Amino acid sequence: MADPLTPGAVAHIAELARLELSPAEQQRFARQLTDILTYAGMVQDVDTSRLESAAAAHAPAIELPPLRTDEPVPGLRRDEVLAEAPDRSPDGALFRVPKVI
Amino acid sequence: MDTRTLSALALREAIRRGDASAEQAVTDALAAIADRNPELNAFITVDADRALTRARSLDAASDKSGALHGVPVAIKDTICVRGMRATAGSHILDGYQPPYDATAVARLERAGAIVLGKTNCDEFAMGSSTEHSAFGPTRNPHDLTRTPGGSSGGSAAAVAAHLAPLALGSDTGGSVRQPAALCGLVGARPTYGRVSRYGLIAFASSLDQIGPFGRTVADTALMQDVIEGPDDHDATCRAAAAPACSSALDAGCRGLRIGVPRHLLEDGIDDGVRRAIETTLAYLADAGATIDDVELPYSRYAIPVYYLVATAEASSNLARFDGVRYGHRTASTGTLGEMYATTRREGFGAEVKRRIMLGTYALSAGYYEAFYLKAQHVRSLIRQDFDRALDGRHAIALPTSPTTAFRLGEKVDDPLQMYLSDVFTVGPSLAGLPSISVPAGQAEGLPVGLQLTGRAWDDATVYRIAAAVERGVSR
Repeated sequence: MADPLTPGAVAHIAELARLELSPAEQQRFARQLTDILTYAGMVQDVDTSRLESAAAAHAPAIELPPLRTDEPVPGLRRDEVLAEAPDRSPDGALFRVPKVI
Repeated sequence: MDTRTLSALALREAIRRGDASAEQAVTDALAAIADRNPELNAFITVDADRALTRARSLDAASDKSGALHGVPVAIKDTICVRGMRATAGSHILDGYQPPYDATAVARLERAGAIVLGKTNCDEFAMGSSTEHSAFGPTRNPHDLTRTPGGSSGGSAAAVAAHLAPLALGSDTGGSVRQPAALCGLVGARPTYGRVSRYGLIAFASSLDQIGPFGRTVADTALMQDVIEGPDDHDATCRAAAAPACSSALDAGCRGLRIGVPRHLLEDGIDDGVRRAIETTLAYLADAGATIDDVELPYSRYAIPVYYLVATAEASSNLARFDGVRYGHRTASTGTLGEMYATTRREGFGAEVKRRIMLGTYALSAGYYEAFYLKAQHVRSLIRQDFDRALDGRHAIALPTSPTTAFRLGEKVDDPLQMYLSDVFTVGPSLAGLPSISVPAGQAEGLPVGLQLTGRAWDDATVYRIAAAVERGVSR
């Protein structure tokens, strides 16, 4: 089963998750995630060969209803939505983020 | 008349008759909250003005026919109420006031219910004790040194302490049923797709369901009847060609067949819980139900499958909390990427970070097949277990929780032990089936819950059996 996660591996996952972790959190999560994954790894003991057709692999476990027709309907009001933003353009029409380019 | 002692149905009738008013019901509830909430921490937000204004307008209305006319309700803080602070138990949503109502909330209000406020929960509903809340733990009204369960622990504590007759929770892996059991309430997880999740802050979308809490089966069934039904805002929510939840509460359980997976009851269960469950099953047999053994061979994999699937979905759903559109943004300056990562470090608590990490790992290159995809396959086997067990049977009975309410702090530093408290509730969640917890006596003075799980869309039979249990236990 799963090798122990190193703090370096934890740092890589944190980067994928856009999550800044302190060195202490990296150490703690390396230990706790190793424990949890070792336990959860028991799923690998189950023979699922008869389910592993491409269709079964992608079928949702829960049956979904037919899709509705795609018609435009009114959404939320832009000013109300943008009022929730931590930062927005002076005219209140755009979300503002740190400079990207 | 003290409206706090009344069931939701009795309160509605008293208001219709003119023996009570919505304003009195709200005033009584607010007094109870002022009295008990400082020690329980069941509510995060109370909006007294909004509730009183609404109560007065309901009292002035000539039409009092709403199914919940004048009934105060509490709403778990993962569910949005327009203009009322929503936190999901997290600091990352600091300052957020949703510009819309959840469909379930809109339907409650259309039926005449009055929202008192928002209840405490584990952050983003991730937990089984309400200790993982950024707003401090909630305490169990039966014993203040113990947890109310979780993640909907605030809703459960509010109803158990008579701060409201009804509350909404959300149940991903047991977050309505387990706190209902630990607080001595009825709590239901509807069939997946029966209640709209529009306005429920998403945790794991293939599992999340909004569900009701009440002190009686009839109240709880009524609340589900009010909130369910198809909704254009939730593509997974469908019209049920199924009877209403409250349609057969008095029908008894004669002729019904209930399977008990006794192989799951051999170890890991408190003796007192086992005794209470056996007594309850014996009552159901006396009342005419056929009780037999049934096997759920893959159930030992339910916890690992749940924690792989739910965390994978959570890591994706919680990507939206990035400091751009709502809630908290870090004050520190840096690139866009640094802003995301620092905002999320500051805003999320330890359990949420742990689950995002676990889910990101389970979805990452090189591990996706071995963890996430494998878990989805085993999930299909778990669902087939339930399908087979429910072939020719009306329900499967188990304890809702292997223990009574545990002590605050007992499991909070041991995530795996905390996860194992969901051992009986995650299976029905993975299978998408209707599942209810109903009070089944006590063990050492603390409530025990019996979990009844039925066939997909047959929520009515689950409520019907729960009503029979309620009559038996109250004899």
